[in-house]
Amino acid sequence: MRYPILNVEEREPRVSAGALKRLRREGKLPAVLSRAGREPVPLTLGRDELAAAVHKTGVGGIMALRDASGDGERLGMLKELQWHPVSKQILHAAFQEVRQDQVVTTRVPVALVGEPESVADKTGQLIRSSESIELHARVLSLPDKVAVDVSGLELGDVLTAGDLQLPEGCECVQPSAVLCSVTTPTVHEIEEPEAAEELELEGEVAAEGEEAAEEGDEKKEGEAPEAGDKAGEKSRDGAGKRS
Amino acid sequence: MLMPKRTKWRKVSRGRMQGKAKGASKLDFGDYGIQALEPAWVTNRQIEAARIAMTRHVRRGGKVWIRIFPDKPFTKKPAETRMGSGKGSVEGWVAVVKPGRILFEMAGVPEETAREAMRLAGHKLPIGTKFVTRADFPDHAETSEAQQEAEEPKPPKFVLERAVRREQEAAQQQAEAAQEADEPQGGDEEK
Repeated sequence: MRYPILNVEEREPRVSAGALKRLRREGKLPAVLSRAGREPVPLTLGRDELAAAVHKTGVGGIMALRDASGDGERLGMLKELQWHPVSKQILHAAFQEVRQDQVVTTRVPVALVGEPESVADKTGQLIRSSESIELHARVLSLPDKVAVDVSGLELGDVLTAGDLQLPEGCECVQPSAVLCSVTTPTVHEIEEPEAAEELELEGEVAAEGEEAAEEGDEKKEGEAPEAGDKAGEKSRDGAGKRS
Repeated sequence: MLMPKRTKWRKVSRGRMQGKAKGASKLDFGDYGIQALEPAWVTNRQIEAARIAMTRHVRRGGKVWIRIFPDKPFTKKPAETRMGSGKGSVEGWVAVVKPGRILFEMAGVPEETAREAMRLAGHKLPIGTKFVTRADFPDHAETSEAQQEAEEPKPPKFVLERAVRREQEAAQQQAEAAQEADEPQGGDEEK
């Protein structure tokens, strides 16, 4: 596995929100590297560099963090990525320091190759449920991505994580997790006549309501409304409860 | 029309719509989606209209997920009523939408079809919306065809098992056919 390289700089542990905003304006990002049994290291790294790396590995990928001060390289697993929900700009990244011989549980992207026959002749559709699977393996034996040939899938087939042929030393954490399925395409019925009827009904109801309201008004002016006259009751309730 | 089956309280306070969407701001089910850019109350009628506009354009194929649910009742006082005398009656149901919220998702259709369907759906909603794909999100790992070719993809285990089983069945059928073909010849010889 080739790890994407990120150039990082250590920063002061406690920085004001304004300073972080300035950092982001410069195209950099605040990040943190957690280490087992030791204090976490606050970092700064380039936003575009990280975006490109995440595009290759996804969240959960292993990246080489190269210190700008020449302190060497450290391996970090991207544990969490925060981004703005509307602009999609990355705001913060959290790494976990790992060793090459360490056993970790992380997510690896799954690439679907090919097209099932039923999808090609439009009798079926491929619905993708998950883009990655959770693997338990040594950092060294983790693959970049798991490629699976889906051209052999038939209508009604469901591909789960347990069906994949994983590289040696990799164990699937949740074999029942569904990756994709080939289903019959739904034909969306257009209920135009019913919709028209509904509109007519609504119109009638509205017209009746108006008539009733008018009747109620007349009765209010003249005589007291009858017991069964709901519109009259409503108008009375609305006007006279507090008076 | 979407609405809760039963509620704990008949009427609720109006609340505020400050901030951005906390959850459901990512495509979790489909490949394409429509994302809210403004805060709003989206009524169940608007959701239904948008859904119909989408499915009408797609017609065949495709799967649609509705990511918002109108669980908030809104009340209204009757027209020409004096103020006071309590809260009005429940008029309808709305979903509180904040910027960044994914409203609808779609899968199983080409991107162009999904884009047009979502555009039509967007016109039925009271807010500005944006068409999004999985690739728009920062956590998306690119698994394009070019990269996949280099990796020698393997078929799933059950596909291999099925292929082996089919081969065995075909061999068995061939053997049976050959046996049947041999039997009548033997009978003629006896006669």
